[in-house]
Amino acid sequence: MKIALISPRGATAIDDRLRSIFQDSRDVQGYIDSLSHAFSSGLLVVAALTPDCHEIRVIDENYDSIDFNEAFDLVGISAMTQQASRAYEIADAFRKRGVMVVMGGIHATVLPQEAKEHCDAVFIGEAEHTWPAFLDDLSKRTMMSFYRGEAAPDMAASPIPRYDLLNRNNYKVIWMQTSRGCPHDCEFCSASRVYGYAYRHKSIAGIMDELNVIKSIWPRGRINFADDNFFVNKKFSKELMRHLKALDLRWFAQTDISVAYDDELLDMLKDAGCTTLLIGFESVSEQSLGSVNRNSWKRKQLSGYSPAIEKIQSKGIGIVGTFIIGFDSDTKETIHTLSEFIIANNIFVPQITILTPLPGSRLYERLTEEKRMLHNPWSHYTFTEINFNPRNISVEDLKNELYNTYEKVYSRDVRLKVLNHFKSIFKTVQ
Amino acid sequence: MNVNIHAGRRAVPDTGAVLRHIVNITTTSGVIMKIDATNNQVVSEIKKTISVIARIALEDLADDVRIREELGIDSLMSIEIIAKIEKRYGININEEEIMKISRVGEFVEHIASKIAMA
Repeated sequence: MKIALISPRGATAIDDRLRSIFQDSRDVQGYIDSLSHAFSSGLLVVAALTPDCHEIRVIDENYDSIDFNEAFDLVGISAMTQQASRAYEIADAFRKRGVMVVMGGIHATVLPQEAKEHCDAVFIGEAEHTWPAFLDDLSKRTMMSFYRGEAAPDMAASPIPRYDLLNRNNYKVIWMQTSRGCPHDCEFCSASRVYGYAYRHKSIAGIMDELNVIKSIWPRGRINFADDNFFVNKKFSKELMRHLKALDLRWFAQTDISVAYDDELLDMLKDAGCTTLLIGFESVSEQSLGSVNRNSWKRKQLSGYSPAIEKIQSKGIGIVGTFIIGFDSDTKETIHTLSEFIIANNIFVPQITILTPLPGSRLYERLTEEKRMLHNPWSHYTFTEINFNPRNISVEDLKNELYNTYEKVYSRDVRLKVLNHFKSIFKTVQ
Repeated sequence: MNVNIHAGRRAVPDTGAVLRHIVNITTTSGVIMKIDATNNQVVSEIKKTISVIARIALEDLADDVRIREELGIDSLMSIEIIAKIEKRYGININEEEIMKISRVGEFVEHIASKIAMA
């Protein structure tokens, strides 16, 4: 079979006004520096699970155009919510030409019936067990409409994704997953409901093999570890850091603030090649943080935010601090407090997004029940658009506060202050 | 004395060759002084600092290579490089000026000229 695995074009999160704000500070620190189109790792895993007798083409629509008249026998599409509208257009166009289309990824997983209207089979959950079963069914002509991954796959047995199928010139930042699962039950997160709360990871040897494959393709590439929470198992993380040191890589990872509480781990990061850590602070309002987790984990960390930021950045590691505005308790005043916090704490790359009720999340269920959803197309789920009626601030004011906050934290003076802060740090760290 | 610096010409790509690096310095009184900032050791130290911090092999630091797009050196790494060089040579490098530079050769040249003036 000739198979196309397609990652649909993403909706843009940066409108003209935001682009203008970032452009103004481009010379003193690029927010755009921190952004990169991520390819779909899931499709590369699917490719690795496909026997060699099939011909595979991976198409990342952010870079490559789709030839709808090419003679594919099967088209597989993986999409996040903001890509879903485009994913359905692609699926419909291929099916019109009589090509079999299957869909997976996080959006199809949480809304399988919706996805099924545009394709022949839907993959629910992780692909490690379901894709081989589907190929087997296909060969016997006993294909089902839904393939649900019942048991969480053993990541140590997961194959190395087929990075070789990507156009290497398109990517300077390589996204790689070492683990799945996050213990935090954040109301706005849909990933935890797909991958579960139990943390699973690849083996050290497997990770090293995968990194060596990546290095052979992109010798100067930077690694972004795509794990939702990279340092859940601190003992494993320390072992991994010891191995990463030998590879002389530069990498970025997403984590929670608990990394600051482990001095031994923190001291290992820079030597291991860590340049930047993305930390989801979410808010600096006690009330807003109290609504995030059922067990109030994030609220309990709030008093430790400033010392933790100082401690992490004092090691020469830049924090990409992510914050959300639009919580039920947010007002113009709480959002102003947020920008003051970001500026006072010299956060290297602040990222502010609008609270987004992703389908599959508890937030989506609650706002639907409260009849507060705006029912926008999925292409509006970019984290800078507003898709629900906020409680204590109007839609218009919330959008303006997003712009105002970015204007403040990305002003030339603030960016120069942050650069000088880091200059002082780098003069003291070894 | 306030001075403006203009690099005389771009350094040649081969770092092993002897670089003739002429820097024009304009004083506040308008006098143009030519300083020969040729210094293989300085250039090689700057490149070594870039190589260590950005974890990029020295041979990949050709002068025409783009710092951000091709080497993946972001503003955090750039500021680390500047900080280490400032500390080593006791100089001050303007962050805004250096962040505007896009290629390795100009980056090294800019820093070498600051060191030459110190």
